[in-house]
Amino acid sequence: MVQPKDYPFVVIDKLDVMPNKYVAFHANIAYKDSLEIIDHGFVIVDVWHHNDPSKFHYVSLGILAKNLTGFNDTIYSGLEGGMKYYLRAYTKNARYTVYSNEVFFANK
Amino acid sequence: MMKCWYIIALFFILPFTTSGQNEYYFKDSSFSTGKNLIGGYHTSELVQIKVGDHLVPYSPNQIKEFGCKNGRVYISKSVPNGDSTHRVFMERLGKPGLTMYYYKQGWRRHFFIEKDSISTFELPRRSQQNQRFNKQLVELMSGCPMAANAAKLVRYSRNSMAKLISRYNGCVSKPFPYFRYGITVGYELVKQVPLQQMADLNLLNFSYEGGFIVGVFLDEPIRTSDFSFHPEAYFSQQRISRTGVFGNMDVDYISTLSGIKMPLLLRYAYPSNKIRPFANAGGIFSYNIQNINHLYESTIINNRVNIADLGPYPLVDKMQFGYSFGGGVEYRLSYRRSIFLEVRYSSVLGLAHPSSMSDSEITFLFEINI
Repeated sequence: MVQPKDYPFVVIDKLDVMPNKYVAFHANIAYKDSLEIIDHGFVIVDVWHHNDPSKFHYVSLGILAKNLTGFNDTIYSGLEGGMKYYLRAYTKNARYTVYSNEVFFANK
Repeated sequence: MMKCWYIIALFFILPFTTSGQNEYYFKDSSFSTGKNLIGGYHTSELVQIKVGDHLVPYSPNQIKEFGCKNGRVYISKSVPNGDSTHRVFMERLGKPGLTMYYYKQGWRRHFFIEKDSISTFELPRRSQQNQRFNKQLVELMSGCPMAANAAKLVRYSRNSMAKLISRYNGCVSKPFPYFRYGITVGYELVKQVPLQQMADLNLLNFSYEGGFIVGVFLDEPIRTSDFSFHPEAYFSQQRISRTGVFGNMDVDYISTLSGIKMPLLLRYAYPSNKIRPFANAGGIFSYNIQNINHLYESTIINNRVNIADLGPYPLVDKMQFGYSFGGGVEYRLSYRRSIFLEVRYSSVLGLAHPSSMSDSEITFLFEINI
């Protein structure tokens, strides 16, 4: 649906939060160029360190299969109860690293 | 916008204008005529006549005939009442030739037919042989095929019968106004127009994008004239995607809208036989069942792209209202069935949020009545 670009356009379009149990998301690659996505995953940071990139927690899910136009993942552990978080998905090809829109959730 | 509404209002008022005539009545052997003779209230049992400064009620036994300024004529006639008869005022529909008389008692309508001033008989909605009134009229009007076809469509109402009788007496070859309903399919071109407050959207170049529509329509003649009330309800789906590139920033607008659109139109159809040009205008209401809109800003710095969703303010309202006008042709396949081709322009705006997007729509419609 998105007009052609020279980078894979990724947005988080679904978020499901079950506090203290899991957080699930779906990232949609609304436009995928011809270059292979050599890495994809997500970045999560708590609300107190939102402006400190050194505290960002990167989770790589590896190479994305060519036929896929999206991915999802569920985080079961590592989140502190009562804390608020920011989450972004990312995709990477040979030229660009693309960070999706940011979604915000509270783990309580 | 105001000018458009003014034209639409004028279009609605036109069919209800009437011309004035002198009033009259026959009492015993005297005839009186003038202006404002007949009171505004009269039934099948009484008429109010102005005597001096007063309105005096008269019964059908006292007044033989009276005529109102709207051109309607009422005759005192006797009708069966059990084993006896009593007199009522009946409105005369059509003369010369076949004459029909009509009166209403409570909610019940009565029609009487008089042919060549010889015999008068009642035309009930269903005869004792369980035959519908239309069948009797078709037989009666077999001398004029156009009127006989119209008799198949006529309603058991005063306006519809009056129109039929006038068509029969002149053997007029014109389409008969009747209630229709059917299917609408079409192709819709939608252009979303961002309003001034939405600066990021104003950077994008919006153009018309298409989608198919499917729905139903009704067409109800207004007072059995060539004007009709024409409501529609159709399902429409639009996927709109716009991109603008501004230096190292991309702006993407993505909109998925699906919902029901309901134009409520007044239609005028020229009363020609095979091909009838028509024009319609009125209001349109849209209810967006699916209403997903996003505006993304992607900033590219050193091969790193950061996408930001500029939501979640509502870009397009769930409910939109506006105006609609268009024109086309009706092609008559038979006395009952027609197809309609139309091009229509509509403009809608959000009801709840004045700052939301407005839509311009050009719709190509194909309709068939069933």
